[in-house]
Amino acid sequence: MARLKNQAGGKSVSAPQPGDALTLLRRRIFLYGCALGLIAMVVAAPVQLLHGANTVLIIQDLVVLGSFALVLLFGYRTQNLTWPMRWIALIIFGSFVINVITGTYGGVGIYWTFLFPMAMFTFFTSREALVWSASFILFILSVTALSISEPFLVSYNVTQLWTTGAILTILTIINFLRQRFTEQGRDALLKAQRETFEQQEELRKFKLATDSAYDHIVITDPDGIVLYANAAASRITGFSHNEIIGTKAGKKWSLPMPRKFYETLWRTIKTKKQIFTGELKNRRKNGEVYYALVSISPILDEHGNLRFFLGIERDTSREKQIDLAKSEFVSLASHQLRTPLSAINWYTEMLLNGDAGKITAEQKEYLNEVYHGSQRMVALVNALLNVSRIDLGTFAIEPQPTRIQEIATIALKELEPQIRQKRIRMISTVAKDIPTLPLDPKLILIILQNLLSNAVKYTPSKGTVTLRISRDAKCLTIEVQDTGYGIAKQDHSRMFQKLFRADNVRERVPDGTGLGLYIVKSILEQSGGKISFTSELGKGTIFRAILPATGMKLKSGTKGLTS
Amino acid sequence: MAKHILVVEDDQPLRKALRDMLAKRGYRVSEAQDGEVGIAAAIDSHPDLILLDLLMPRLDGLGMLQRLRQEPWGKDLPVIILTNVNDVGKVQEAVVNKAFDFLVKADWTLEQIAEKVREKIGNP
Repeated sequence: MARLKNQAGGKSVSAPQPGDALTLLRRRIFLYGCALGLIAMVVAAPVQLLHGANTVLIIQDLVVLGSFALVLLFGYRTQNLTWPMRWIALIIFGSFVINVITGTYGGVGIYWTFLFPMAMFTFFTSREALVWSASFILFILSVTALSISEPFLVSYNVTQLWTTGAILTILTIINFLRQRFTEQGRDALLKAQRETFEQQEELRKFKLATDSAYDHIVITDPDGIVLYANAAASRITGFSHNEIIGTKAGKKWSLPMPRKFYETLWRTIKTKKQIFTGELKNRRKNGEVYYALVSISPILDEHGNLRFFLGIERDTSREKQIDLAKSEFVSLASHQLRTPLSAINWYTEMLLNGDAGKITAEQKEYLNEVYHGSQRMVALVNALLNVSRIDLGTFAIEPQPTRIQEIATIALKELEPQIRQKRIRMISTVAKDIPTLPLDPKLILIILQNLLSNAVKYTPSKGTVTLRISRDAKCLTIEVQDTGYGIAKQDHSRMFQKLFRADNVRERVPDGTGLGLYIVKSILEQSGGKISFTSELGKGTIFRAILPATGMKLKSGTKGLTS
Repeated sequence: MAKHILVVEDDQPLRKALRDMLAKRGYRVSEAQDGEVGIAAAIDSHPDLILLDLLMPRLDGLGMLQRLRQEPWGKDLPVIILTNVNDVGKVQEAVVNKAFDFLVKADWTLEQIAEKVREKIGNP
């Protein structure tokens, strides 16, 4: 797993892989331990050499002892320490402890001499070893320089140091030769090189991928403090990388949401440890407001403990613009379509009225066909307009205190000519005790119009259509029953599909759009309701539209539907 | 003298249909093809009622309505909006500017429009 190195803070964020973080910790402790030992040597050795003070020597020894103890404690268990090295390290450490306890002190150089170069080749990558070697050589040079002025005091230590240098050199040469000239060594070298390369490549790949991502990606700690942010985060919010890192995610760009939103968010990601998705309203640094779809995933370690959050936000302002443009287009197109239809309607109407002179019975019949064709076209354009608004999600649901009984009366009244013409028996049982409810009257009218006109349309003359509206504790139910042609079994699943018309009615009733039920279903689903039907071929159909007993919920949108 | 109606509509066939229908019923009718011409004609002739389209080139219906409502004599003049644009926002704006009715052209017959006109200003 790649470790994502944070650009600004230099903190490492490692992905939660078993053992990975622990190895990193050990390595780091070893590194710091050795560094501490070296610093102690660098600082204390010249003082010790100049003054020969025992206290200083002992302090120095204790520091070195402590740091080496740490090294061994953690380093012993790492896989990098091969077994002969472990034993050698243990022996040296043990003899050092005995030395200190018994007071037969002989200087730390001897331990340092062996342990240091050995450790370097067991723990470090070649680049780290180089740095350490360089610093060690500097140290040797400084002590050597000192030995020129105080030759007697330092000669012993200098000898040790040169011994160290020699061992270091020999080890380097052996290592080099082993890697170059033995197959095993070459393999090991290649493997090491490949691993390093792969690791770096992996890291680069991840970084490149997240930085090239279209979406805003941040990784935060369990409190929501940003540890990592990709390039898109800066591009989208307008805040620089440094402004984002270390702050609470979203604090700078999120606009306040209702409290309930945050409660749900934190409950989902922190308590339930599940992925949260939602829509946010944000503001860029330059003040521009935009909408973003957000997902926040909790990242857990192998014990299920929360380690990080991964937050991904998509700026949807472009999509919103496209939606708006589409909906504008539909509006404009419908306007353009309806204008010539109006002309056809109006001129036919005038001809039929005899405004341009008396017309024959046959002319009247033909003109009536033109007129009805045009009316159908108007209905179709309206239905298509509604469908496009439904599909774009731009239609609004605006509940207001409404008596559904009144809407039902309007719908029935509108249908009167057709009902009378087909001599349909219309039975309406609308419960009188349904109170005023928050409903969108336009949408309720569309639902009733469609269900009732379908029932009348698809019922032969002298049939019966029944409208029932009732309400119980849970639901407001609208039921329309007819004694019509019915729906064949194989068509049941397709009844609510756009533009679908069943075969058994296509011939009998040519003027259907195939859009009515799709519109009704969409309205019901968007306002928290649903629709179902039962039907038997040749006997009739019952459509049942159900809304919550509490009415419709507000849905903001740019357009209302046209009934 | 017969009641005077100004028809402001950019689509020539529709304008002509409205004119013929109203003239046949005995109203005095004048026409304008956009808001600019419409407002000038209105200021010039002080009609009894305006039939106003919304989507028009140059000055649109709402623009013309706003200008009209600024005129002292035009403040309460009956205006019937005729349009295909069934947009909640536009309706609200028209209501704010005291347009009396908001009609959707394709859905209304000439007979219904004539009825609406008679409701507002009576017989010619």
